[in-house]
Amino acid sequence: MLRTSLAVYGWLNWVARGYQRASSYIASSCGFFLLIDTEKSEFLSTRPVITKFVQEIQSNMFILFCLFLFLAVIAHILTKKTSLDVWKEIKFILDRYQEKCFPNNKEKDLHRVTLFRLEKHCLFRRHWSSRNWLNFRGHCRLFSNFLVPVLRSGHINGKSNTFFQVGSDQNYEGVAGLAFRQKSQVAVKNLPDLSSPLMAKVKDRKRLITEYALQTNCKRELIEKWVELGKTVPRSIAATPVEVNGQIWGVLVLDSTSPETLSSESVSDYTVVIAVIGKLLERM
Amino acid sequence: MLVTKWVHVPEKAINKPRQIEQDGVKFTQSISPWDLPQQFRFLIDAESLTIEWRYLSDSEPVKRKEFPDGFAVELGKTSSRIYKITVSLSALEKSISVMPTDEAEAATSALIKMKNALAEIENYPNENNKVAMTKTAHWWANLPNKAELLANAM
Repeated sequence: MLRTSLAVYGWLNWVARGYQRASSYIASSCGFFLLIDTEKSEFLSTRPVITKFVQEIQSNMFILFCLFLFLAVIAHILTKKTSLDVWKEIKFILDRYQEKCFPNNKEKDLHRVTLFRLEKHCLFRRHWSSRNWLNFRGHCRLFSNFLVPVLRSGHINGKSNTFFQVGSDQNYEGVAGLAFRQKSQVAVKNLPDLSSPLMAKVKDRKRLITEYALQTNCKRELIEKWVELGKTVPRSIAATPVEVNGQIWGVLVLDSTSPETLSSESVSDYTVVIAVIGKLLERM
Repeated sequence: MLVTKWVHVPEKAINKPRQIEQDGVKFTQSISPWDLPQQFRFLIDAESLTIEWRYLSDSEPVKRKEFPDGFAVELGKTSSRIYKITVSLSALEKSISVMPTDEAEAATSALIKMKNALAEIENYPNENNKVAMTKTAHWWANLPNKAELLANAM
């Protein structure tokens, strides 16, 4: 959703900037049309079609001026620095952060940086434990708190619909939920490989999924769902809280399909990145 | 009033990752960078010694909390992080001359006093910050060249 908004906003911004550049020409053309006397002009006396066109413009000049003014206001609003600009800057930072954290890994979709935002008292979030459309909240209470993905590094895996319940009924899902609960950096590595040939055997599959769920602070059913959907299942995860004005705003999660790539040190080395993200979010 | 330059707190010295097992989940935990003090400085006048702390973010309002023995702290209203500590020199029982050694000793006493005061508070709202401050005080107390560091920082 955010990526689509960014694309639409980028296009509108381009149009608005073009209009702003052209507005001086449009205004002077309007002035020129007002100066023309259609009855006395020798040039127009032999050209009835152009005369009609000029007369139409002159008679509707007030409406046209109002329309141009309205468009100018819209263009001004669109070209002003808005929260979407901040998101663009944060996206740029996430991409650079991903490159720094995973310098030797070319497959960017397998090593990701995702920014989760805390959404309080959600009513319409469809939880993974939901079994039908009517009971969309699954085993969560009404108005639960969730960590919802808002931005991800890279251009391939831009969308993510995995979100974690936090804070309600002492339920803190995932490594992100753990970092949120502890208010500290949390890292897990050497997670079981859920793409290994062992997964073909029912017994091993069950064991690996249970082990993975336990180590990542998730429910077994969620991991099974991920495997069934063929989602990228990371083998190392690190999460750091992001604060705005002294309060936890969300969590920054780094994950990789490589079991040893991530460590607490690799996260703490880039604290300045987290600080910049926090500062940018304060502007919104 | 004597104001020292900001002393940088080495993150790696005070924030070593710990292996934790909680509800069957094994993970590596380290203090959030937001709760780690990045820098601190001393402000010394005839009556008191003040330690100011800097964090990644310092844009929140603060509240003042008084302790017995001429000891006061300024805490962040939302995060409960310690931003400023003021200790009266009479409470420190140190006479401060212009010698950096004396100031370093006074600073050490102030930090140890802060560490002890924090240890007495149960259910502190920001436990991570409490741990970080205690570790910083410990790091400073064990620093061999603190007088030199303070002299350079002034």
